[in-house]
Amino acid sequence: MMAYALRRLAMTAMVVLVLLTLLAALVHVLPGDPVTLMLGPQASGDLSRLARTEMDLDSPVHLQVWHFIAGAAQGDLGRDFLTRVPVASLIAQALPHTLILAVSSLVLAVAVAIPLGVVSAARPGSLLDRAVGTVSVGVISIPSYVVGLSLLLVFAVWLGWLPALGAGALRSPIDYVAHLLLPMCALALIWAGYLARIVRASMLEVLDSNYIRAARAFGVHDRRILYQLSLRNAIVPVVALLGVALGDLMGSAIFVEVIFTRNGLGTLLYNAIAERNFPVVRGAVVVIAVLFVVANLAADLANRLLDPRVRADQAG
Amino acid sequence: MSVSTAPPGAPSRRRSVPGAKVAAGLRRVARSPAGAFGLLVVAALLVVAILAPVLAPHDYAAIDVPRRLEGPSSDYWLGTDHLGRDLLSRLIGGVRIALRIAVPAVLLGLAIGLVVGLVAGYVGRWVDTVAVVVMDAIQSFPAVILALTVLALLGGSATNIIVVIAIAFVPGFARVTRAAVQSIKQNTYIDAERNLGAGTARIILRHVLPNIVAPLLVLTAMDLPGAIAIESGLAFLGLGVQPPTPDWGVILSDGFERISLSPWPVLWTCLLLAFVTLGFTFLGERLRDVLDVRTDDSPASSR
Amino acid sequence: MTSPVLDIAGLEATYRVGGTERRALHGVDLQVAPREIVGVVGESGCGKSTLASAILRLLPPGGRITRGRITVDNQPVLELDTEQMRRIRGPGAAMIFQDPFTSLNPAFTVGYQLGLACSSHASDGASTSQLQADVVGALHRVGIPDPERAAQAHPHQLSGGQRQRVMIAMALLLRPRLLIADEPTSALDVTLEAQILRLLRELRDEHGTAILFVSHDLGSVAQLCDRVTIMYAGRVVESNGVGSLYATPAHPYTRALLAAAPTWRRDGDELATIPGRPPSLTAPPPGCAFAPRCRDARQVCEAGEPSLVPAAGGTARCLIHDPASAYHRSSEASAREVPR
Repeated sequence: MMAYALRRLAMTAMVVLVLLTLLAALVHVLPGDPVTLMLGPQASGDLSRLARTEMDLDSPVHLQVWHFIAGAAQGDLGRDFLTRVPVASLIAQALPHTLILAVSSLVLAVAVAIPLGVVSAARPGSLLDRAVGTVSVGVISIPSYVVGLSLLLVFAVWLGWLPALGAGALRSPIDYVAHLLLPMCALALIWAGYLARIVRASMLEVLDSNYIRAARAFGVHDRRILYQLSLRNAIVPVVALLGVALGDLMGSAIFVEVIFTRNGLGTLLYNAIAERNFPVVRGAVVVIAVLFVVANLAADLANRLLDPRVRADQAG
Repeated sequence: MSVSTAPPGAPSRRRSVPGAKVAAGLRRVARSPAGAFGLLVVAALLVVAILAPVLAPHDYAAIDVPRRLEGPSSDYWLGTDHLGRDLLSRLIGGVRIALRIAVPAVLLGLAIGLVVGLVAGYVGRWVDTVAVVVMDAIQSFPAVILALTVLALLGGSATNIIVVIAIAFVPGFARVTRAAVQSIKQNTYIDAERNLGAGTARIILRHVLPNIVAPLLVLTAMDLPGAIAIESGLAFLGLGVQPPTPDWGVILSDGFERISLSPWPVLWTCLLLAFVTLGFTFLGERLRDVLDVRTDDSPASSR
Repeated sequence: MTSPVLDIAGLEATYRVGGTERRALHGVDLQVAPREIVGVVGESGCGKSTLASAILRLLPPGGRITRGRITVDNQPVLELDTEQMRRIRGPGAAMIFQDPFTSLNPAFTVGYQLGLACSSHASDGASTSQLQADVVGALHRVGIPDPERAAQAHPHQLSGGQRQRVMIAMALLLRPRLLIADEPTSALDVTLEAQILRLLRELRDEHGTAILFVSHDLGSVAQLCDRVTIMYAGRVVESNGVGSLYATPAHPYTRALLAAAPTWRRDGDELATIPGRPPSLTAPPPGCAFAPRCRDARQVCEAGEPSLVPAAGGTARCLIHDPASAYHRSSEASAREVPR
């Protein structure tokens, strides 16, 4: 187990490395210049040079990556070029809100998807099954910001049931939750659709297996067969996907945070982009990337833990 | 090597067969309600794209400030935006914009993915391993964030947007191609030995390409809505085209800023985007069933 | 005469695969008396597994029972509702399957699964410690070493032979009147097979469980069973006591089967085979199903399906044993050429 975890850690580190290199390389390859975009074409030569040095744009790609990593290891993610505030502290302020949003959305998605998937698999071809199937396909393909805007339109603007702006203060939990509800539902909806399909497919496969047939042959109750004996096996591939889900949620979270004007990593990134604030953009993207690969790693390890065959192989 | 010719006296069926197959395939797709809906949407989109200037009741750039932020009326069927421009005309105009970015992006992704998959599958060894790692890294990472970052640094020109979206879709195409090459490589290994050296690469091409047409077609249909969604999303966040271009994302973001004053821009654009993405996705799903293709459809691969 | 533990009458079943329907069972009759071990033998595709699965209504998806009557322990199985059916499965009739490697749930311990089978049928809330004791006892009874530890183990930690014993232990715990064993030893080697067969016999001797033993292996059937039924192309073609059947097989197919079974003979003897292939299940030919491959077939055999008639102490579905049939009047060989 330990060896596997270390190996996966190394893999994920490499993935982050690849991403960083890709980023730096793309900046070099594609037309356009970050400094000019940030400071404007009229900027003085001195200012431009200062900016280029501070953002390390003149070093070759691999050195850029190396310098950044070295700095990051010490907690230095650069500084906001204009306000001189350390990027690390900006991120530290914004991160909790994003994490709360992502995790709560995932929890909601899972809580909705599992019963739907199980019931669909228990009655394949039924009206419920086909309805869930169609709705989930629909929900998956519609862009997250469309879902978010629609929810905003209906529940905040039109019906006025829930607030439209901001994250609310963490100090007052009810207020915070009220602000969290709509964005959380927007994100959860898409993943609930996808997860329900995965659960359904996985359940169908398990329900077809010999051991479920044997359980039926010995008269085990139907409900137990579904929710305990089958689900326990069907859930295994789903767990692996949760890591991917969390990563993808981050992408959609940007839109949702902007739409609901929640301060979080997404809004930070968005504003930094609007200002062409390269250090903040880089820092935010890297943090998001790291979070993302860590989430994937955690899901992958959890998956192995859950699979009794693998776990017991280690134990002997 | 000369192309084999049909024996004398044999009917020249070859030219008509692909057309007949396509027609039969389309009929099968249309038989399911989802597939029919998808075909309808795609057809409507194509019609609007081609006939946009004719169909739009107004010039999409025509400003009419006294009538700004109105709801549907007899003059402006869907209402107006914050500058009094006709929403219907703007949305119609947006079709071309969306397709002009999405289609090249997906095709570029297809082209690059094809090459990467062919090389990785054929050459194998470390080239293959590197390719797989890079593709995995790209595919699993949220495309939007990747696109955002690159565009933030380099500006949102059409080329940049197309390239960045294409990159997000490359891994999907590469994976399909690579799998096909690997299976053909195993099958024709013996043939390849018998062939006179130069035949191997050509054999792989001749065997691989027919096998991957179906999955690539399905993937294209599934990726197009993703490309449209990403492009509009980027425009919504402010990265993209300049006004007065009626990009759907821009219409959305303008409407969003004034959502309390008038819900109509956001409402219609959301409905339109939902229809378009649903239509393509249903079509892709139905195509997949008809062509009997197995792919993994994680939303992470095209968001 | 006590009523049979299992009574199947006129059972017909079909499978729908894709768009085609295959008839898997054509009017099968079968009885199993209390404490009796009945073997069902036939080649792959003859319908014996379908028959076994149909008894507890456990046909795979696409399978349907279209006609017939099944009575298990005096209960009309085909008329029961879901809950009544559930209650029969296990205590009424229990089934063990061919592949022990996949018959146990990989995510739960062996002891838990055994306990679950029990508690699904306990009318009173048996205490957990009692349950555990019963489970360990059953594991011990079927010859699993260190039963306490085995109960805590997951299925993949046990060998195939042990897993099959666990399935028998499950049956033991529920004390069914009938045990349906669908090729329980096909996936095991010969020594394990012998042990399992012995275990099954003990189950009958000590607990009075009747057994329906489905197999393609004539040898194991000969060791274990009291009576044997031979199936071909979804039909019963012969039925007799095991001794009589092996000594004086009546149906040409049975004869061919016995002849084809490899035995120790002189070196260089050719292995006898049955020429041809079983008939298509989607478009069965008229007449006797075995006629195309039968050496003794005559034209009249292709005209209509023979019915079961008494033969050699049992019954056989063959015109040869029907003194009234036209078979004996004509001597024309079948027009169809028997492939060599």
